[in-house]
Amino acid sequence: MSDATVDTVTLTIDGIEVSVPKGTLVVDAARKAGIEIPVFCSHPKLEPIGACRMCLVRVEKIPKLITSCTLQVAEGMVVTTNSAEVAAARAGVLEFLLSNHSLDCPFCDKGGECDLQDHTFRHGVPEGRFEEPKILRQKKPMPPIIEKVMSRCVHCARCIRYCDEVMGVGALRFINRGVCTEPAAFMDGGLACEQCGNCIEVCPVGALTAEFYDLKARPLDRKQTNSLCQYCGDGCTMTIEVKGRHSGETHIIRTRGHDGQGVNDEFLCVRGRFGYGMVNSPERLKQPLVRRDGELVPATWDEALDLVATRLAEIRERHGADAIGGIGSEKCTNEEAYLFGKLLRGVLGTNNVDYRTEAKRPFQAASLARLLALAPPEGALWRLRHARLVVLVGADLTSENPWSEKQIIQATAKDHQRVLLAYPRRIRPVEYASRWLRHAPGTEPALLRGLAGLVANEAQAEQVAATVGVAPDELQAFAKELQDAPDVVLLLGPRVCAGTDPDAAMLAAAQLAQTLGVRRPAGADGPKRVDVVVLARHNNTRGAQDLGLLPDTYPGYAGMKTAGFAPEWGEALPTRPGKSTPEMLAAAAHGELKALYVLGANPAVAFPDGERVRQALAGVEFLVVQDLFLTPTAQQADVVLPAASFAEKEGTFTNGEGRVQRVRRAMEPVGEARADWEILQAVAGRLGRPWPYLSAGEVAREITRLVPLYAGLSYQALDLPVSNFLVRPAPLAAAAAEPVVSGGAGPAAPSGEYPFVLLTGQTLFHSGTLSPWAPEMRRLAQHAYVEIAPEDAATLGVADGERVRLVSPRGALSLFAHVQPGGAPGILFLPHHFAEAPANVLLDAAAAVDRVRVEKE
Amino acid sequence: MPVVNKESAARMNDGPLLFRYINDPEQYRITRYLQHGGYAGLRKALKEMTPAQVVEYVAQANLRGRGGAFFPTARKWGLMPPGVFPRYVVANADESEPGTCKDRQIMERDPHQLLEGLILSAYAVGAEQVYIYLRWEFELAAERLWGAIREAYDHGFLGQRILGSNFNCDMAVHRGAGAYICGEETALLDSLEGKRGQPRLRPPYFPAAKGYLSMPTALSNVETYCNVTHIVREGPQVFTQFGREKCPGTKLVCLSGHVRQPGVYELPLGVSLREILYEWGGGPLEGRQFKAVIPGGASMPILPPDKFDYPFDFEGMVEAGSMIGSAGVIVMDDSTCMVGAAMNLVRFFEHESCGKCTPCREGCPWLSQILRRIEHGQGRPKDIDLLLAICQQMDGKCFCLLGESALVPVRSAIQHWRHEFEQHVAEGRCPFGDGHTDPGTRGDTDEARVQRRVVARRGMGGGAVPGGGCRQPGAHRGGSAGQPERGTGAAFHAAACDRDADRAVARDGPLCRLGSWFSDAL
Repeated sequence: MSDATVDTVTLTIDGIEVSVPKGTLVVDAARKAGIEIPVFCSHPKLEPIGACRMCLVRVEKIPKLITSCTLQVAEGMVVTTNSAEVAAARAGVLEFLLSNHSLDCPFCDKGGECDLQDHTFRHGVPEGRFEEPKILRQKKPMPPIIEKVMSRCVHCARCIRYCDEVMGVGALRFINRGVCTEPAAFMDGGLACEQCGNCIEVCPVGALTAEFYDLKARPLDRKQTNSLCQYCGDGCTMTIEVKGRHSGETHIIRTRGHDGQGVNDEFLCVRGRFGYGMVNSPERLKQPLVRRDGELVPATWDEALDLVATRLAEIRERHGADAIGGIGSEKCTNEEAYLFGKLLRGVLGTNNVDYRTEAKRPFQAASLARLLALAPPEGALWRLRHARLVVLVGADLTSENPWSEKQIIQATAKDHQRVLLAYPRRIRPVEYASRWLRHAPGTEPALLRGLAGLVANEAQAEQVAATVGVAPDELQAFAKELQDAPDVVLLLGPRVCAGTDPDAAMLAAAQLAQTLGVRRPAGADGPKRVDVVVLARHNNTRGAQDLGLLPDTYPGYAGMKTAGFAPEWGEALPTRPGKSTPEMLAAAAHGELKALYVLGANPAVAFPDGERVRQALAGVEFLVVQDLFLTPTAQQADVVLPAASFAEKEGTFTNGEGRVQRVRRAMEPVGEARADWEILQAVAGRLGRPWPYLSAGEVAREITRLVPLYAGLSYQALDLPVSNFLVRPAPLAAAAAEPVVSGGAGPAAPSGEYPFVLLTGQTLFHSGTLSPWAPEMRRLAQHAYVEIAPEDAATLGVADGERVRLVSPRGALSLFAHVQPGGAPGILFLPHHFAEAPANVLLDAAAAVDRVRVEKE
Repeated sequence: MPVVNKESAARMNDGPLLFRYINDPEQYRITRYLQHGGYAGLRKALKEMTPAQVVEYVAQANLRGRGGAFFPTARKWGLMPPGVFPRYVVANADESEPGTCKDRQIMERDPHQLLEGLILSAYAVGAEQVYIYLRWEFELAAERLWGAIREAYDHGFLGQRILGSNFNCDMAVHRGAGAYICGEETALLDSLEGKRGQPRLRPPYFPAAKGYLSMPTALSNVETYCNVTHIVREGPQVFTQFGREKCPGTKLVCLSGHVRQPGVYELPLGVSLREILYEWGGGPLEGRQFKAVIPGGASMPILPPDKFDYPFDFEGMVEAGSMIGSAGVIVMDDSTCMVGAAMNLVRFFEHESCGKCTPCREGCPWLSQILRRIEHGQGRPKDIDLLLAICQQMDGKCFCLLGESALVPVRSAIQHWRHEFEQHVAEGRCPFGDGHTDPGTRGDTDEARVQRRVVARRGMGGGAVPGGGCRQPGAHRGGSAGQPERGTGAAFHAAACDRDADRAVARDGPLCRLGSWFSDAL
């Protein structure tokens, strides 16, 4: 915050003296003084335009009434908002707005929460004088989701401005003029945009609505719960609205941003806003399943839990604790992640626990902790909005972390932030990045190390450029800009850690940050500020890391130091690092791992080399899966336990920046499903270790007590408008003291048989785990496809939309080709979430870069 | 409707400055322009004068903006923040005020006069890029300007190192897309930037501070720049010898309507309205008497004959209770129905409202609907006060002057001719006879894009038919619901004609029909 004593302006509004910072708008100053000025077009997140004329006020020395949403305060200004003249102006504007308004309030989604209704009630006159024929207009779809009802529009342009200023998309513009003016997409057609639906959110009336929600419920029917989004690691706050306040029905009918709360400023992306349908999916598991005679059949909870406890105890008895392994989830709550570790380590006695199901090679917990310690203390999202230079390595932000991206988009547009991008594919950040290094896939470690070397003047640009496959002068310019920037945020995406040498990449990133950090920016006194942000792909990736779902550390990056947990968790805690997911699966394939407990994970479609994973899972003697759906992994299980979704339980998530926030129970679990922590507690109890938790909050209290990283956490403190509980591991010893790890091969040579490099990842509409179960998201992205560059498509004779077959040494897939303009020749991109085309069957866990060939079908 | 102006001929005088050679058919060519002393001012400025001296000349001449606001041009240039570059000079050639057709004559007949003024202004303010924002419908003007710019480049009056000096200047014509609002300077700038033309938020109050691409921009009317040409060429005294002290110079006066000799005349500012009407306009038509005059285009208050003796300049017209505006003098004689005239004027603004702010977007159609009812004999006694109340509700509350202008003709018509409104209501018909104010499809061209439904419901409770569609055959693309029989073809024809605002105005009645005939005749 800037110094509050400077630049304060004092003015009088309706006789009340109020002091506000210079530059404040009169409408905001009035709000501070407790005076409500009605507005339509004015919005705290958008630039003022003064179009609706609702906020007219009288200001001394100004001849006419003036819009308070565009007028900045001045010292000694005298504002009147409660005179008859102002009241008449407001009533006049409302009369105009209602003259061609359809007044179909009983059939309007906004009825009951509509600014026009509220303002008319407070400031309007009961009788209008408009007796002419109304110009009314039909509902018009803006496919695929949004519907427009122009007869309700007040022409505030909030939708257009949000799309421009925050989303940076600009999909909407006004067309026509006069009373026929309307916001519309290009040629008044469908919306070719991110489908985020924020235009609906900012609409003060019911002019924009979503097809999924339209006419489904009235505000009175809805129970609202403030909770969190379950998709990416940005941790957006949202309000879950459940129908059934009166009828007892439980059905999510809408999720929306919660104004004034959370890190996301009311923003939600398309997954957050429309991806809730999986909760109400008919495919949800509603009761436990037990395998009998090769078939999964329904069972009671007692039967299922007894079976789990008996079999686990038996296997531990026969083969030892290390014959048991557990794969946890990045989606469950902190409490559940903590209890899963406690169950495996404390009750069953093994360190075989991991949450990573996609990584070919697991990184070391210490590598991660080193980077996390370099995170900005104010929170990464705030920092992204205010940094002068952002370096984006290995992240497809649009798809993976939409709100992080929108922070950058706002900063580049409004505050001249610069963005340097290193990514092998053409992705949306290319549009606003100042530089784009299109390095060869899989060379991220070499690139980061090379940049560190260039910044320290210890490396040759030509050499590094050859290794990573870019032009030397481009690389040099990239490094130069890094050197010169006064402050830098280094943003590391999942691709950095996805290769076969994640530790090298993470160490190189730490070294780069450190090398940059000691440099003095031109004209500044101190060292320059460098922050590292490790992006989290899932809602609780960070929580799973923090709370020890890693084989080589106990919660809080304690390593193998069991001291803090010993009496509480159990007497003899295992002290040797356990097996990571790849190691567990390998052990399962060799018959060494006899039992596997999978909590909300789906290695059968996530882990590279799908066929082998399926074999490994089949080779496990006893497989327990706890999930929302009968996933391919669950289909192979011996016991399947139905879990509650994020909307049906209490707990906390830790977002990518380390902010702990609360997720709340908005509805009853479907069927007999139970929260994961309850199931884990029941299993532990049947294994002879009754835990005492009556609620998730009690688990959280235990975490606070035992994990120093989370000390001081209390559920009450998380209820502030924005949770201010940020966790950050303590800094480790300087990275430079460690030897530079060699590794990170150069661009893999193309091979004749498999000429294409295959990249997999998520898209905006699907993050791969839960979104495919949401019918709304399935509608947005229905069919599996592979992105192919136009040049390659031409060579192969493949047209957009034709079916092709991808063949790798590991397997083959048949799917549609999508010719991507501007795509890089030789690189294919395959979204990894489609059930009919599980990308992992093509991947090779041992290869640094996956290669395939394309056959025309 | 009597056929008017058949015996009259539109004409232009050989004025003292801007119109000195306007009747020379070859004047648009640079050779003839040079023969007539063209570009001598530019030579003089570049050889002998500093930019500051050019500004000083303009200040001494007390040149005031000819777009209508009469803001001192030199003072406007002085508002450009020093040291901020690049800066731009933009000519507002989006002449679309009804009754105004002066800039068009200059651009078609003597375009180099404008070019020279623009280059001089660019030199004065330190700009190197000039844009002429030209109204879309001016085909011939566009051709003539393109030709003139090409000639100017060929002769070294544009381009790099003009006439051997260190001054560079480029010029381009930008054609608008047919919106009246783009004559408003900030909407013009948005349109010039490639955006939808809508007025910008003020402050910044003047484009001089933050204009095109947020850079300092000198933006004035075509006529203003042409005056700069003559002030620099012949010195400020050539300008100040005309007009009154506060408002010197000549003015191009566009005289249209019920006069014998409509035309564009270059006259000294300060002559009386009566002189314009009788000496230059030739007086009223056979057997008619003057009834009303709008001195400055459609947005200015209408004056009755007892105000004809006020001097025709900025201050004089304010005293008379109107504004000089663009000096589009529209004359109406006693055959004119003032309700119909007000209706036509309001419908113009209804059609041209950009839709940004509520009072203008919703108020204009409301006014026009009531006026149409009164004109067609369906007025009620309370409608007249309702009109005034709506005007009050719009007055001072619109985003820009378009909405503020729309209520002006209504107010002044009621102020001076309230008895005509009352007569319409009392008799249930237009006393001037039916048919002369054909409602046509003009107000419906935009509505043709929407589906209109009549909800004959009183008051605010109307229209609660949810989700319903338009069920009236023929109302889909045709005119109003009241005329469902109007075919699609006719509506399309109307929409197509509407591109030419003159023709569109022509359909609307006696007042503007004159203007249309007039500009066609020229």
